[in-house]
Amino acid sequence: MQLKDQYVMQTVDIAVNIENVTKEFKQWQRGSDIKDIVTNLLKPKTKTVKALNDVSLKINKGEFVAYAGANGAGKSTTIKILSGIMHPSYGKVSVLGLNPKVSRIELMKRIGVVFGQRTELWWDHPISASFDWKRVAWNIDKDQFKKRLDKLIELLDLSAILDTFARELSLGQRMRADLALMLLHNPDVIFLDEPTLGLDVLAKRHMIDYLKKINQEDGVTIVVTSHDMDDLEEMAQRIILLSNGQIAFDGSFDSLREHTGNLCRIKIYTNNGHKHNLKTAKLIKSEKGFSEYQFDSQKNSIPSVLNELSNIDSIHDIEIYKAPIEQVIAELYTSWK
Amino acid sequence: MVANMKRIFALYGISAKLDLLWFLRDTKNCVLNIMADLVSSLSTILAMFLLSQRFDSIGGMSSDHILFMLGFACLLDGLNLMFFTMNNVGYISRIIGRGQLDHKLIQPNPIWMQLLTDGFIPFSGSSTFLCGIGLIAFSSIKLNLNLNILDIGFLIFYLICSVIIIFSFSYIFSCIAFYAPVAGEEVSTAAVGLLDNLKGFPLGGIPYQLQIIFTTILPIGMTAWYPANLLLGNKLNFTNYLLIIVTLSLLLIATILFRKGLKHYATKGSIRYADRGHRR
Repeated sequence: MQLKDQYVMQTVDIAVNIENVTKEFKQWQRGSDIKDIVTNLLKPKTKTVKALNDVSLKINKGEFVAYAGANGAGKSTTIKILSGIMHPSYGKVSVLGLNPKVSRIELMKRIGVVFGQRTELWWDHPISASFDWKRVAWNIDKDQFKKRLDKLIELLDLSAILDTFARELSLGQRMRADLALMLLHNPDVIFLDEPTLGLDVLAKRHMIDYLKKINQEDGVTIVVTSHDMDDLEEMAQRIILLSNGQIAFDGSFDSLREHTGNLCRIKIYTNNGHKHNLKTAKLIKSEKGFSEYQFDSQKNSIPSVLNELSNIDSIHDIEIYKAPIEQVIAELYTSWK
Repeated sequence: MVANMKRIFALYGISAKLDLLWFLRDTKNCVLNIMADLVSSLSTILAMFLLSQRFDSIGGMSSDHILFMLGFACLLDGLNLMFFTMNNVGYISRIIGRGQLDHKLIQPNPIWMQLLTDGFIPFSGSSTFLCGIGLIAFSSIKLNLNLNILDIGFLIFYLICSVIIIFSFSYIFSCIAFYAPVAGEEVSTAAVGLLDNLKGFPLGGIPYQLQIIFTTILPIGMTAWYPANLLLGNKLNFTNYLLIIVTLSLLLIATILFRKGLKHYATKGSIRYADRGHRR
């Protein structure tokens, strides 16, 4: 009895559970020589590619998770598997306790999906018509729909574009409208596949702020993929890094930094503009009036770097900061190749 | 069952609303579109009408009988236009081949329900249907047919069977798009075009063996000729149940192939360019 209760407790708290999931695709391998014509025709060679290779992870309810990786790492495949569009070759998947393959319809009432490169809006209709369509397609109660729509219009600043055709919206406006459309049925879990792709600074700011708000205030579980690591760091508490279909890292952004050596940067401004070679830090950039160095604070402490810098008389200003997460991850990607 | 019917009517309602909004918002373009559909539909039956007027009788059917048959073909075209043309529902190879099934898979409704309701355009797509009603009424008067409720019931039933035949035939070829998206689109367009262009052709004058082929494997005769003759009470060399048999057979084959294809789609994803070395 106790075991059962424990099990219920566990499943209640877990939003996404992926167990030993592998997703394989076959790729044609075709030679371009004339002698390969017959082989290509009769017995084309195929190569099995593992988009996901024995991946296991759990995401608790209310978490905001960044799902990142280089191109072809398996991010979009995971989102498609979680939303029931694709099925895994092996392994088990459950979202909110439901198997996407078996309970697709039930699941779609409780989750939301946005693919940044696509739109769910009706292209040749004003976005208000798409919202209306959503109410019917998702069978949302009229009063709740109105309350939620009013809130979304206000928070996502949609009032000015409600009567605009989807095809006439800018990318930022379209993404806001797509986000509102996805949130209208009040999903418990949302999957966002590169939602900030192509957005300008302001549009990105709006989107990040809103996602953080619904995560913190409404407890919505969010899984977001992006190539923009700075955006991900600002949004999410946890990052899962994929490499060649496998989880290469799963933890907080701070622990990712520690894992990769706590890279720090220091920028020094000098009167004469000379660049100096340091023992404790590596010069990465030198321009008029300043030089930028990178060092691993676990190997060389900040006081030791400052101590070395104190020997340079011409310094008139210093900036020390953590290396951008982009840099940390770029180095990881390079090391995985 | 009741819940499903409610959902279907609700989805028909929103599709109709979107269509009406288009008509009210962009009336000029919508009217032009309606006229273009009408001209396109009439052009496919006009050649046979003119020939029947010139020769008075073709394939064992008088010109008035042919007019009735063309009216049936027009009604059929109208129904297809009204229910299955919008959003490529009747040309599913385009949805499959371009990876747009993803949009359907993330909606909380069964795929069949979405396909049944997404293409409904009762306002901008009704012109050919209304024209078909006019042709049927006019030819019935010329033929002194007194259509009673039972006859109209049979007319509706045969129309539904013919719609299912065209829909299933299109889907059977469209399923190729699950495996070869570009080729599937081309093949299914040609297959639907075949039925569309030859639907008004009276098959009475061709050899029996060809009649069998054109009423079963390539069911051109089932789109107008066979059901119109049943309604007119003309004697055919086939069982009266052939329409139902062909309808159910094609529907069954289409359903099996589509389900198999959908399974393939869930396994492989959209493979539009995969056979040319591109990623999914």
